[in-house]
Amino acid sequence: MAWTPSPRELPGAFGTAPVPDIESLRRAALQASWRRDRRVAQRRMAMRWIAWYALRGLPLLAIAIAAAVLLWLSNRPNEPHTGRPTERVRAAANPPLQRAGATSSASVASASAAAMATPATPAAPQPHHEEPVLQLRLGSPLQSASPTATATATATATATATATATASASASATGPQSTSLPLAHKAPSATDSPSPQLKPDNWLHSKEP
Amino acid sequence: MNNNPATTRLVPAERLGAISSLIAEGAEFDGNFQTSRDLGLKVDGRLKGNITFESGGTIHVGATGVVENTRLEADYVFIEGKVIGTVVARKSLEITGSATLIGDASYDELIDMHPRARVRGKIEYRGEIDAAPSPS
Repeated sequence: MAWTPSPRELPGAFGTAPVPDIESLRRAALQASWRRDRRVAQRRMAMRWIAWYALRGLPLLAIAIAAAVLLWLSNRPNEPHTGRPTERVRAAANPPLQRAGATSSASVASASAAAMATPATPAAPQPHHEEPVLQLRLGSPLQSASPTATATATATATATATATATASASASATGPQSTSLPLAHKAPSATDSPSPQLKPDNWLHSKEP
Repeated sequence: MNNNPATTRLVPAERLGAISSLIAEGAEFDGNFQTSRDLGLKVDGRLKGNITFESGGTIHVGATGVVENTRLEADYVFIEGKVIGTVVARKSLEITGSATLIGDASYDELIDMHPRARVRGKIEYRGEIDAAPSPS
């Protein structure tokens, strides 16, 4: 005969705890298993579909991307920052002029038209302006102190001053809004060209004992 | 909330819901399982051996289940996991898209193989080829 404990021998907690039904336990286990099956099956199916689409469409996608890249490379415009180093230096030196010209679009157009109308002043100062600036920047103090370079720089400064005066006169004749181009054009010449005010300082230094 | 297995299309959900034995995920069973009663067995773990239901019976290999070196024989066989061996379904055989079957399978009445199912083996219909289709 099998031994069965009497209810008095069981602790109170075990005697009053609800015992789960076997059928409900089996149902719960099956439903949990189905939920897990569904999750795993969906993930595995997704991976299989992705692998199938990748194997099927990857060559076509690669060909399309390669064709697009080749088309873009063949039609790519020339960019200034990818050129030679000298072009980079010029591009770095030019933006203030270009920006000033771009900001004062309509008013500067009338001013530049008026400046172009004068016979000798408009186009002459710019090529003379760029070459001495490079010489003064890259040259040593001994080279800049040579008489030929000083004479060239002085002549350039004089020409720049006359051009600026002419342009400002024509701009003042056209209107008060057209002052951005002469000012933007004057700024690099004032900083880069040698100023004649240095002469008295050198002269004072030479007078020291 | 849906309490039925969602992926079944051929095997009745009542048959899957009447399964009474479970090899849980993470468990390993090595040996043969045989009965003459109309019961059901679900395999979520790993099983090495044969499962034979002499009459009736439902075998459900879950998505995480792996059955190796086996011969599965029952009225209804529903495969979502991996089976390496021979499968004999006396009534219906259903292989879902997440399943992998390496081996031969035979059935007497109905078969349903979902897209993306991976089967390497022979599928054989054991009924009468020239017989008239059943009204069901």
